[in-house]
Amino acid sequence: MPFPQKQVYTSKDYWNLPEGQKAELIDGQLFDMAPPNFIHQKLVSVLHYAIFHHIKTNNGSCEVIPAPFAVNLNSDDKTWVEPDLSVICDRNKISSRGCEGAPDWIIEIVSPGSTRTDYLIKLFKYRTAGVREYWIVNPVKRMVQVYYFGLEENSELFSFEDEIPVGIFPNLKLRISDLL
Amino acid sequence: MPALQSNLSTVTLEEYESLPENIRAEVFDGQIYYMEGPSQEHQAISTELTTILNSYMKSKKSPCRVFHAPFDVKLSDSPLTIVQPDLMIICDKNKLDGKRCNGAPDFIIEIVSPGNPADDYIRKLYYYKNAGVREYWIADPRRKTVTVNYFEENILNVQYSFDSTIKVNIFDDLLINFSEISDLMNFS
Repeated sequence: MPFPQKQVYTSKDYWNLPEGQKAELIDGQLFDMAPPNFIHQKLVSVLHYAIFHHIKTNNGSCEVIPAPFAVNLNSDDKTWVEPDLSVICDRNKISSRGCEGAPDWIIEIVSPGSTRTDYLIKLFKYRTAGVREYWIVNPVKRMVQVYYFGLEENSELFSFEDEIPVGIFPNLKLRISDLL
Repeated sequence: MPALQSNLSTVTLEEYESLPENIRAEVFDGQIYYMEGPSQEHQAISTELTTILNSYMKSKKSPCRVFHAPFDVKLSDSPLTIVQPDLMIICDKNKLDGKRCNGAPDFIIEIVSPGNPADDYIRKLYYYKNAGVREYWIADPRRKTVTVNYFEENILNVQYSFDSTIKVNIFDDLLINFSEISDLMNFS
């Protein structure tokens, strides 16, 4: 949910948030991030494992990094997001403070505090920034909305029981119910 | 494929207006996107919807006016955003200056073309919502769905099939029967 809008926030505000307070910065608005619950963390954990394992066994060079991890989406210091999982294949994007530019694949786990508008904004920003694939995992509905932003743009809704093909890793399919 | 984007320099209003007549393009935050011409199916749906909306406005003697593409809608000056929605209803005539609509239409329908579904579902959804459009429908002849976004009440992504009769939220009793429209799409 957005912070109360008294002003336009900047990256200075983002980097100077009080200890323990987490937020994302998009278009001058700060979006509060609630502390994650158990299923949220479990999903991040098992997905991270599955993707990391795939990259490692294939001797890949992509990095898969869980939150908290700061992503400066357009390398312009104006939009800072904290995706639950970021897969970054261009090592040059990774700086000591986070990722400068668009990750290749972003996975977010729906949390109770986020609204549909929040995801509308993220969907637009990620696609425009050059993210290649975006998953929205909903633990309550046990569904995953997948957006493939590459040359063959597509969007599909899967359940936790479906085998979901990963767009950016052609040899990887994930069935969330198997991982949990 | 997404709509073709030109180089990354931004375009001005003057440059946009001096494009040749036959070039169809939209501008989002200064970035120009060229559009392909509409298909026969697209035109058939558009004509039918225009007729339905127009009949309703006339029967109600409504001050709202119906327009269809190509008609420029300038959503913002700086950065420049100009779109050409497939169908729109504009109720505030102060927005109309004889050349274009300045500001957000009340109601927009886009008919998805095969080449650019994500542009309608993602990019335009974002811009239309931000600009203050009250209601935005996405008619997808390929998937045979109509997706209703009623921004005014924060209702997003309500899907109907093409054999549905759907009420326009911003009017009291305007219903659109898509099964009649989809019958028209069975060309030989």
